[in-house]
Amino acid sequence: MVGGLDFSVVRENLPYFFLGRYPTGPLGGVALTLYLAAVSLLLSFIGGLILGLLSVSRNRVIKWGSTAVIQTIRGMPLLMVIFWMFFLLPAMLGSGMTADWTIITALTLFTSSYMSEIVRAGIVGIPKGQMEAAVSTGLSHRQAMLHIILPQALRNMIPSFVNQFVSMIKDTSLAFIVGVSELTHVATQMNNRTMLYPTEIFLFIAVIYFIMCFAFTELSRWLERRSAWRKAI
Amino acid sequence: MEAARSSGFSYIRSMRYIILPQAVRLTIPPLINQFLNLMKNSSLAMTIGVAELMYQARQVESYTFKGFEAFSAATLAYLALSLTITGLMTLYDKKVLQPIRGR
Repeated sequence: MVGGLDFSVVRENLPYFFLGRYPTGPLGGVALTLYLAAVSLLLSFIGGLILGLLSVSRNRVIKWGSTAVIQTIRGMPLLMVIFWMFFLLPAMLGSGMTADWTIITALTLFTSSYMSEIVRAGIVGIPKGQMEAAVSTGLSHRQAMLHIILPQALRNMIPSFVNQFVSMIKDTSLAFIVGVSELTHVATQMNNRTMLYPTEIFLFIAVIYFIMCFAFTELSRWLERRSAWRKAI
Repeated sequence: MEAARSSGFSYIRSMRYIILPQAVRLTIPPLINQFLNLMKNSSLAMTIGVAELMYQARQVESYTFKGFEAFSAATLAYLALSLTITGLMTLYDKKVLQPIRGR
């Protein structure tokens, strides 16, 4: 008992919060939250890179097209993207996808468009002379982009990517609305089952979210310091 | 600030008449940006039953079973709002901030 709060409900269901019904059933809780965030991050890293490169393309049609896609997704709430995936994907693909993949697709689409802005900013942030120097040594525009500009730009983007990952962890909590049993869903479930301990349960998951996000924020700070140090040399 | 103080303004008055009017002009873009984010995040209010745009879209969807149409309308509404505001911001940046920065 801490100040009238009874955390035994949390203590008794600790494995459920962290793993869901994992050994006997599907993965859930914290593990699923991290899994969703990690897979979506990986996919949206690729998606963001592609969209970002398209949006700095010299071909006007490609540039405007990708910018339109990015702006459209950025102008929508994440919840809306999730609903679109939830309703549209089954209609488009014929059969329904699993809820996990619905969320992963939605998160990937959403975060890709935000990441593409990071990528674009990173590429634009590299001094023009780099490209000119690369092209004048005989590389094609594409080669110069791939071997000279991107490696430098990517290094500058790392802290932003980690920040995006932190947002992603928080965004996965929206998955509970389509019934994916990640941390928030598990907490809601637990709250509905026990009825008496909403404060304890939601306080507990708030702390867990905080710990996860804090760890990654610290990581990004550390990376930022390190890259600043490297630049100073 | 130093110029304001040396021409006889008190600290509070120089804040009020000299610094803040300039600062507010510059904080408008980030403020609007934050507003756009907030507008999109307001869709989360539906999870606790506040009848905002997203909630209504879902309501319409469950009355009529026309999910596609309902969500298209809501999406267009969000897009129209945010694109209009973004457009106005660009205009503000061009007409108001660029001349200041140019000086």
